[in-house]
Parts: sequence; C-alpha cells; structure tokens
Amino acid sequence: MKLGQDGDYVAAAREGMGNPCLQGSLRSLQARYGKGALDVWKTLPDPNLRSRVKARRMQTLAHLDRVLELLSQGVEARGGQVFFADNAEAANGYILDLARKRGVKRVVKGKSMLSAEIGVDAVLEAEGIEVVETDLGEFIVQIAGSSASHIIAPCIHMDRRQIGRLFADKLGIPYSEDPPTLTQAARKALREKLLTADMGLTGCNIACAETGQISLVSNEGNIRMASTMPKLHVALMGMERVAATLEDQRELLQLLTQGAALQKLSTYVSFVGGPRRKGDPDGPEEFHLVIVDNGRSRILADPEFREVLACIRCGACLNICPVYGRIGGHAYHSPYSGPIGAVVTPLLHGINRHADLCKGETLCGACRDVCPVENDLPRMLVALRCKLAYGDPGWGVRPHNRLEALGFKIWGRIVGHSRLYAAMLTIARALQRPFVGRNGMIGPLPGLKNGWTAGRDLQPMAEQSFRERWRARQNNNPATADNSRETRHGR
Amino acid sequence: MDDKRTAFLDRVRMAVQDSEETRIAWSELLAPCDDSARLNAFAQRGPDEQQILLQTLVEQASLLHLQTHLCPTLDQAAQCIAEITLTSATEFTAEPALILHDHPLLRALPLHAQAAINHTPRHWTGNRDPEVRNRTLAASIGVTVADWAIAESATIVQMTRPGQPRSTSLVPSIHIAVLLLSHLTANLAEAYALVRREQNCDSWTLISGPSKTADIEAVMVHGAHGPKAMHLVVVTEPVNDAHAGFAVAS
Ligand code: SF4
Repeated sequence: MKLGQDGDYVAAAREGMGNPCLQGSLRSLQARYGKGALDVWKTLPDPNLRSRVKARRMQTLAHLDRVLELLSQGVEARGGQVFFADNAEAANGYILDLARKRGVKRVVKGKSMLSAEIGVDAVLEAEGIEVVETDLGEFIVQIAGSSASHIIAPCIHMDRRQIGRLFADKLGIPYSEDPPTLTQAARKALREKLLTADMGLTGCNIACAETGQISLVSNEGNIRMASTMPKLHVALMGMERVAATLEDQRELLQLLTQGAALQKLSTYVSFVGGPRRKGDPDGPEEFHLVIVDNGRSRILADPEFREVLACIRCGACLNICPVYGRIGGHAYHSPYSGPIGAVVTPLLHGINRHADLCKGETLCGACRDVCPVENDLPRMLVALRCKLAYGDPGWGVRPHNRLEALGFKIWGRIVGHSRLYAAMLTIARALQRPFVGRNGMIGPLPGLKNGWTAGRDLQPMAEQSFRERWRARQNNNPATADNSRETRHGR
Repeated sequence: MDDKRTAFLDRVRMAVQDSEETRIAWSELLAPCDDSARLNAFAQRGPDEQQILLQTLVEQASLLHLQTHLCPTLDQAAQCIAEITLTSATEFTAEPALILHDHPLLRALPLHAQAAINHTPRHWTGNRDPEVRNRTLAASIGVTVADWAIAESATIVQMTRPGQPRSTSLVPSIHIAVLLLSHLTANLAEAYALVRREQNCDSWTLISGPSKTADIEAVMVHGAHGPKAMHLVVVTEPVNDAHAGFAVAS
C-alpha cells in the first residue's frame, strides 16, 4: 500500500472491530507484548538507558547532515553506492533504472515499511518485474492482495483457516491449518525465489555512521538471504534511521528487539556496508544504499515534531494502544499504524488528509510510557489537533472543521458567563427529557448527535448542577445559611 | 559530490540549524568508545567465571531452541558433529552433505576419524572454489566457527572473512557452530568491543538460534528461511591456539 491512500477511518475501524479473528489476535498481542515491554523497562539494570539513548538520538539528529555524509563515505569506501532521494519518485526512479540496466527480472524483498511508503513494488511491477515479499507475514498479505496491519506482525488480521485457504489456492498445496505445515510450504516456495532473484530489496533497521554500515534485523532469515544471495542488494533507508557510533547502534538495537518482541536479540542481526570483497565466495556484487527524505526534512525542521524521527519502528506503541487494540491497523491507511502512525502519517502525507488519525487516539499516554526512546506521541497528537483546529500555513493545514470551531467559540462565550450558562443548562435539561430511556440513559439520537450515541448510551445531564446542590445544602443548614448568602452577595 | 546530494544535505543542514546552540560538538558525538574495561573483563576471566557464563549460555540457548553440546576436546567435537549428521533428517537434499568454513579450527577437527560419516560428502568454502554457491545449496549441514559467543542472549558472532562466507550459516537446513569456551563473552557490549578491535569488520552477523517465525496466529515455528535447527558445539578444554587459528584475547 502506498502511503497516504485516502480511506475512511471510521469505516475501516468499524470493520476491524467487527473482525473476531483480529480482535482475538490483538487481545493476546497486547496482553503479552505491550505489558511485557513495560515490565522490561521497569527492570532495566540501567534505569537511565532509555533517556540516555533518546538524548543521543536527538543529538545525532541535530548533526544529521554530517552523520549521513560520514555514513555514505564509509559505504563508498567499500565500493558501495549511495543515492540520496528527495522523494518517493526519485527513489523509485533510481531503483527502476538500476533494475532495467541490470536486466532484473525478479526482486525479493526483506521487510521494509519505507518500500510501502514510496510504493516501489507497483513501479517495478509495471515494468514487468516480479516482486516477492519474503517475510512470511508480508508474503501472506501480498498474495492475499491485502496490506500489513501491524509493524511487526503484518498478517495479524488473518487466521490460520484464511491462510490455509489462501495457500491452497495460491501455492497449490492441500488445505491445512497447521502453522508449521503452512510455514514449510512458504519456506519451500520462497526459497526458490530467494535463490533465483536478481535483486534483493531490503530496508534498514539502524545504520551506523561510524562504521559506514547498515544493520538488518530479522527472525526468519529472509533478510539475510535477500541481502546475501542475489547479485544486487538495494537497501532503502529513511534518512533518520542512523546512529552516530556503533555503541549507539548497540543500545538502540537492544531497545529495539526488547521493545518489539521482548527478545534479548533477534535471531539475525547483520551488518553490511558494501558489496562482497574481492575473493569472497558470496554476498552481492553490488550494494546500493538509497537514503530517502520524502518529507522527513520538514519534520526535522520543526522542533515540535523532530522528536518523532527518533522512532526506531519497534511497534511497542501499537502493542499497548487502546485504540489500535480495538480497531487494528487498516484504519490508519498507511504502512505506519498505531500511535506512531497517527503522528507520522499526517506529517509525511498531509495533516488534513489524515485528520482522523490524531483525533482517534485517546491521549491516554500509554504509548509514551512504553516507547523505548520515550517519544512523547501524545504531545505531538495534541499539536496536530491544534493545527487542525486553528490551521497552520507553515504545514499547509487549513482549519479542519469551521463549524466545529464556531461551535467552540460560542461555547467559550457561554461558559464564561455563569448566568448564561445556567440558563443554557435549564433549556438543555428540558430538551433532553424526551430522549431519556427507561434505563435512565440517553439512547441513540438522530442527526449529528448520532456519532456520540450510536455505540453507547449517554448519561443525561443531572437535574441539579453541583452549584445548585451546594447552594441548597448550605441554605438548608442553619449554621451556614447566613454565611452562604453572604458569599453569594459578595460576588 | 553530485548536486543532488549537496542539495539533499543542505536541506538537512538547514533543517537542524536551530539546534546550533544546544548541540554537542561533532567530536563528542563521534567520540571513540573506551573498550578497555570490557576487553580486560573478557581477557582476565577465570575458569570459574567461564563456567558460570557457560551455564547462562546453555540456559538461554534452550529458550531459543539452540542446542548446545559441551565437548571437552576436539575429538569429541568431531564425534558430536558426526552424530548430528547421522541423526538429522535432510530437507532439500536426498543425502546428508556437509559444507564447512575454511577455518583452521575446523581443519583441525579430526572428522576423518569419524568412520560413520566417511561417505558423507564434505566440502570446504575455499575462496578459490567457484562452486561454493552450488555446494552450499547442495549441503544439508553448514559448519562454521563462532568468532565469539554471547552468554546473556545465546548469540554467536560471525565475521565474514576470506574462506568464511555468509551463506554457510544460512542456506543449509542445519547449522552447526563450533565455539571455544575461551571465546565466550558475557554480553553484547563485550562482543561489540571485540568486534571494534578487529580490522576487517566489513560484514558481520549475530545469530541467536535457528530461524523462526510467529506470523501465523503467533504460533512459533522454527525454520522460516534460514536453518531449521542450530547446534552450538562448545569445546570446553583449552585448545592449542595454532589450531584455533585465532589468538585468544590477551
Ligand atoms: S514511537 Fe516509540 S514505541 Fe512507537 S514504534 Fe516508534 S520507537 Fe517504537
């Protein structure tokens, strides 16, 4: 899926909530990993690790130009090539051009969200090049014609029966709903592809400027395969995904694997930064690192949002978010879902266009607590809402809902005048009466109010406000009656 | 530097110019890591401490389906490899076949004394052999040497070197890594210190157990795209360094 496909947030959210398989998976995912990551942070031998790493991350971003230069020098010294892509088109153009020149017929991919962000698959496929996802989850969503719904667990919205039918249909194997059997079938099919592809296209988890390398993390081994067996290895890297030193990389790596899946380390972590050396019997003959901006420099330039570039895409915030935990990933209409998606998708692809995302989150703060680099996502969600409310020419944001803005303006006036407010309360109480049901609650309302009441009952307004009750109480109590009257008159 | 790159980096520079006052110096950002304490801890670890680390390694490995085999001598290590060869099912090949890193330690393993696998094809990943790729594809078991291992996470560290390619630990269905106990580190930080000390770290890999996936309903399955099974053969008694082919840290 290309980033920024417009879609209906509410409809997709509803669909997610109505998918029992997704609901079950989300429940167990969140019960295990979200809470688990919080526990890991609580018991870190070095309680300052996360804040220290975050500080280094921010310092690295403050020097990002030089850090990227150093990284590219390291890669080039080893005979690798580095391409700086301003945007998706430039990155896709470079990769397509390379594929054409080398006569590439088949590309195997390691998991890369950036590749989905720039939509490189479609560009290659339009040229008649076969593009195969090799991460099992990504492969499943690819052949299902679906899209990833979790950063780490892409096919969490599908159950074994759906996958069984899919494999029977697409891989021609007898129907099975046994995960090992299904995995084995994919292993066989994908091994063929991995060993015969002309190009491996991977992402980059954390590059290291000091050593001039990228590091790639996986459990399946597909990324090692894709970066070792084909003649060409192209790595796509968001320009912020770089650590200054190897020591920084180590600390980030440990936070990444623990935050993502409570693992001390993932099964494979490989460091590469160039083609095979002379005489090496394997490894790619060419290595290309494509460093992509695609809207990131704009985020970098805004101190309010720069922090989001510290993200290492571990997915921990998805594993704890109560909103993501109900609606799943598809409602975000982006390869980046959950709280991180709610911040980064609008910033990369239009705040108005993705206005629903920041409004959908509850600002409960759980994502901030669990984030290995302590990203204050709730703060940024509020900042986005603020831009939507008042508009922001710098970001090209127009006020999202003028009617709503007007409503709040009027509301602001009313609550500033106590008599007016009291009068409004009286009217509202009278108006609500016909809608209060037998259970003493307000049921579904027609029109605009439906959004508030379709899925839940509303508590009606109390017959007496707190101030009215207080006053009545004071008046009925001889000891305070005079006093309260005085206070009232004194105001 | 081409114009595009200059423009790209200029844009980044402009974006961060506001941090001029708050940012630390470039030299501080890139300050070299002082590894002396970690290297000392590694070099001066006594036998008792090593045994404790070994214990941790074995425990952690079992959590990852990484099978550990403690072999006092090279003879026993060779025997262990023979047993694994004989008892493991093949997957992509009809008969078992070994591909081994061209490493002095493996060359010193008396595999020839293992009559039971005398007829099992054995190939070395020599640099000059143009057939290495095909031989690797035809092998059911890849045998490598772990430069170091990390006890806390049951991880091996493998540097890509001439004659020691990456695919040996990746493409065959079974991976056997041989480790000298003296090359066992406590944690990732220590291992990174050792890597930094190396001259040639153009390509290196950390491996913690067999390949795995939990993408289908979160059910853990071993054997996704890499090896289905991984064995770590730990040679626990000191080995002559000439055999080991690499100096034990001093
Ligand atoms: S914002 Fe934090 S928790 Fe969320 S994916 Fe990024 S690093 Fe992980």
